[in-house]
Amino acid sequence: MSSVPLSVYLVLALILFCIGLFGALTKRNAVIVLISIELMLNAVNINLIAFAKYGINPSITGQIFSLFTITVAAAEAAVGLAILIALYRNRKTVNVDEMDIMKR
Amino acid sequence: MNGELILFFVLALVAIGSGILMLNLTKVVHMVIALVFTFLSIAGLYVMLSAEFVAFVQVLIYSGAITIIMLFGIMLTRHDDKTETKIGVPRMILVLTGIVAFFVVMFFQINDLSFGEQAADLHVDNTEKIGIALYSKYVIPFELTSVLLLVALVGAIILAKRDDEDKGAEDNE
Amino acid sequence: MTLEKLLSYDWGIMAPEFTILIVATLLSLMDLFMPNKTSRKPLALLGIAGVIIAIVFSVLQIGTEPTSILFDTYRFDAFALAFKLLFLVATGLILLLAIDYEGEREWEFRGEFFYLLLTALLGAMMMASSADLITLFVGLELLSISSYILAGIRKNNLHSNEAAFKYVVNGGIATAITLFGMSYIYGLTGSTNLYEISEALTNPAVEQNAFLLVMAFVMLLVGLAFKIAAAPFHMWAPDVYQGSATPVTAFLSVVSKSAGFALILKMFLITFLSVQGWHNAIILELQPYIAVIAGVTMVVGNVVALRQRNIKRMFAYSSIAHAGYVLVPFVSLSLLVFKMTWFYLLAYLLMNIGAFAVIQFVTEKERSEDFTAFSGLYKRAPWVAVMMAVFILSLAGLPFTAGFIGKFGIFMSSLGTGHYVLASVMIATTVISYVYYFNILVQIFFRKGEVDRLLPSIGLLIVMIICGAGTIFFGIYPGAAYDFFQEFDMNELFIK
Repeated sequence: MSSVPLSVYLVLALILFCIGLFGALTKRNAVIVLISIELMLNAVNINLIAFAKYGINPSITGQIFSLFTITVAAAEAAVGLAILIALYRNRKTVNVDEMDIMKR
Repeated sequence: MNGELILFFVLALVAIGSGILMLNLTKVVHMVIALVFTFLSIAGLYVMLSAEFVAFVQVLIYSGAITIIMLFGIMLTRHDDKTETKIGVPRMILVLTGIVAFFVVMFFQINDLSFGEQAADLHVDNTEKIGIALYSKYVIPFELTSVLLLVALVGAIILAKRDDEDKGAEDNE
Repeated sequence: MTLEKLLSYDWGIMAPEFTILIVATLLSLMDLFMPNKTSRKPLALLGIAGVIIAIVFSVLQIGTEPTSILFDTYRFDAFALAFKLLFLVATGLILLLAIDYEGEREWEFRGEFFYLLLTALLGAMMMASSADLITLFVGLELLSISSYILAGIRKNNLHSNEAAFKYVVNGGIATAITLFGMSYIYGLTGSTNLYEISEALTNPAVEQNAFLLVMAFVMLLVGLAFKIAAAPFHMWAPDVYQGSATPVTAFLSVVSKSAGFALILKMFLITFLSVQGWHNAIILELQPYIAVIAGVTMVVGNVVALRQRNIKRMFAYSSIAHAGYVLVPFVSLSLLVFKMTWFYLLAYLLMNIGAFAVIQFVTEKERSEDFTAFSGLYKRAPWVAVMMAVFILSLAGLPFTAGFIGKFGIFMSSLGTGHYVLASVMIATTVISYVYYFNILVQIFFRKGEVDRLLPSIGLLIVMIICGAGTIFFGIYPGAAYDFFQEFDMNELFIK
């Protein structure tokens, strides 16, 4: 029996998820918003891997799932950044607050 | 208090500390560097959870690839050193309240969650097991992921590429 | 697992997906090797051909027994097929729209557009035909990431850039929330297979943590509510719809949204309804929340649409409102939930794509997205104006249109199960929606505009005719669609 219980991993993941969510919702810099989303996805991975070991039916599946998550996260980051660069080329800003031309 | 627990707390503290640092630093580059420490300590946690392969991937993809492209993103776009324009206090409070409420609700649910049993053999031939599962049971999502990566590749290229003939593009708006 | 075992699966059942995959790959290769300044429009024709072949394969599969490949990571059943047909038809029509989309300079040299549409379609199809969280997630992301790129593909247009960025940020947050929910579901049940999850719900260890499980499903619902643009998670939709190219807007509002509904129905109904027992209570517990989401969505969508002058933004709010209507059968959860949802999505597909065809036609000719661009359309292009009237009357839900039948069915089913409040909200918001829908009609028929005649191009014309004919046909004779739907035995969804 391991000395580190499942729940502390989950709590850690929950804290990181909340930090990421807070960053994504309040930060004004586009790059930081993207990276906050990555932090949220990392929290998901901690959950998956902790459950893969200590879950109700421990199996390798959780690790596989987290590999897919990591891959997708990387793809999403790349696309997000490419869109940001296209935007920057036209607008010269990375401030999320200034992205409001359609509301004017 | 044994070694494993101490190791866990050190890693967890680094992860959370860097995360909070990320929220409070003012320079964008520093924020990204802070995140690297979070990613690395998470990789450490994966080793403790007998997921060596995922830990390795985590270091490669997150601490390596994603951090680097984010840094590139910062370099390719101009950033004033102080990036934060203050957002409205009411909105900040609203978001904070929501997230704290979510945290509290979840915390009391998972705080005493335990299933007792554990798979003791996950770390034995970890990579081989992942490989076998990936190429047999999960071959369909795996192939679908390859399509997804192709899409991301094409998308990133067409969106970030500069069309040199389009000199007049800037006065589009 | 040996190779023989792997080959023993009936891979032929994946023919529609393979067709789309092959055509998408082919298009990307052709796009790569075509000379720079050659028009890419023939690629769209090839894409349409691929979609038609996939439709043929799908139609041939009607009546086939449910088939599962590799532990349900791919699963063929009537539910999957019914939704896949919707996606395929919609994408075919949207490709037709895209051929005649003029956009800006260099647009016609952009072949990426067509195969990204197909990969997005592939993602949607996988979402409909899998019963494994991992495949569902990868399919969802394939659809999402393709859509992000599609939204931003007019990269020299600032609106498009902003739309894409907002989409990627909101979509990313939604994905993370969905996944967080999925991770708890996996942890509590120890499986990613929806049927095994459903069985695991009877495990006493899971029952002790029922509240956590409900929270996990709420997170899942929140993440997917982003996808279908239901209030209060709809904020991205107006900006994204307005900023994207019109065919992309049509795609997002029809295929992307229907795929979201397919996923919601699948996840919730398989997990909670396929095993009898206490956990039927969970879905009943969730119902009030979904009812609130549906109600708020209808109100927000219809009320905010009143203030819009930009036609695409107005239709964005209109499509938010329609998401609310489609959620109603899911709340009332009668036996007819599949039939109602499917028929409404079919009607919505026809009328919305048709309306977007007209919008694309008018906004391109007028170079303006303000709704006054429609003024005097009846004088300038009478047939197009009549078509638009049909689509709008159908969207508003007036008799003799498919929209009416769909809405009426949903309304009756919610009355039948005693959800009177929701039914009255539906009626009230429908009445509100008349205001802005009829505003457009007034512009078209009674306002004076330019006088020159306008002629739609052939692709747009085909789309308008198909959608218009379909809208009226299913409005007068809905039995055709219902009979067709009888071919699909939805109980197959629950057979393991």
